[in-house]
Amino acid sequence: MSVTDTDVIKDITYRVLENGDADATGTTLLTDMFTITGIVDSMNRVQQKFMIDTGMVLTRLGTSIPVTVGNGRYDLPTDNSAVVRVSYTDFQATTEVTRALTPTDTWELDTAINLWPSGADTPITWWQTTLAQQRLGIAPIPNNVGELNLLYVALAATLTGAGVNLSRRA
Amino acid sequence: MSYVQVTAAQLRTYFYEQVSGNTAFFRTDEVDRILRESFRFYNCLTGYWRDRVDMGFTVAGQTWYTVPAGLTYIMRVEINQRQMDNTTLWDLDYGRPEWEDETAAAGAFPIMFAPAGSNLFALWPTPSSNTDSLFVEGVVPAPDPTAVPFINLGQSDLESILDYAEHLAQFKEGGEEFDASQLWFQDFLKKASSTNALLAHNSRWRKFMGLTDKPKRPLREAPEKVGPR
Repeated sequence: MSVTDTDVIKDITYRVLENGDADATGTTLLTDMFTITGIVDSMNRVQQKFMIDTGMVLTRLGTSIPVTVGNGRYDLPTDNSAVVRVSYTDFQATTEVTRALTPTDTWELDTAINLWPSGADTPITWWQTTLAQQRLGIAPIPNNVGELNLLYVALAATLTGAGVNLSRRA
Repeated sequence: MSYVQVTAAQLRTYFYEQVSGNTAFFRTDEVDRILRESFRFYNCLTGYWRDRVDMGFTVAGQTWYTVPAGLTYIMRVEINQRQMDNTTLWDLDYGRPEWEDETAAAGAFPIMFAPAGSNLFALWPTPSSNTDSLFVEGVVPAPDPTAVPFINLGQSDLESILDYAEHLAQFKEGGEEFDASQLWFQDFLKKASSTNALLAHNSRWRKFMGLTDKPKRPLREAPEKVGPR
């Protein structure tokens, strides 16, 4: 099912009585109380919030993030909006092992694992609390090479008012 | 389940009957949009329109699958004509952290599926064969009443959808008309919950319906006071 931004603008136009004595066009309004740009901006904000709040459409990262020994912090994809799930594939285990990492924060790590930033072991958790934006940490610090597999909410399609489909499943 | 057939023209007529036939205030294009949204919302709440999709065969070693484009969300999965149990990513991740590595033995099949969002699902254990058939059943998008010759649906479902359509339309009127339409909306939600009992467990739904599990009594007794009682 496809819904375009123009469809939504028309719906809004009717609801706020801005169509006058004609069908809503999606490009013009009766008065200057609202503007099409204002409506489109609002739609973009609401759409993005809806995507994050519901996790309705998830993206699996096509190319996994390579993990190197001793490095516990990695860049996230540029279209990432919210990380939902992380798993780690350990390449040097006896047999390659993929394991789901559980979310945590630095308070838990600081309290539960003494000197966790300097130790090295198989990662079992992921965290973001004190990192810069679009960064992800894993703990303990990996002692093997491997890769991170992400399931995340991607940025929603940018609506322009020119008939762009709202974000949806592929 | 019994059905009636309704056309777009009939739906518009029913709608206008509910709003005093005001064809000037509610234009045809607007009514079509209101009806479309009402059908979609009812379908979201109840999963009224469903279908079965043949996804072909499993892929050996592939854990994650994309929900077929024709389905809004999945309800049931069959592999080689055996039903699968449903689970969640949370259960798998916390119960069997290495579940993605577990592959079905030769001749065995995956036994559980876990939806991820509305667009993905995972099979556990991972299929080991390329020849296991995979069928998915789920909810499909609600029909667009203006794009099909007619729609099959139950009489009581039709009335609920029209209740919601009226509520939507009255937003424009505002004031008392809109307030009064809240009753139609509640009737609509009540009907939806009789079709989908899960709604009754949803806190937002219960709050809107004025239902609460919290006992209606003060948190503490009123303090004793001096003087006549």
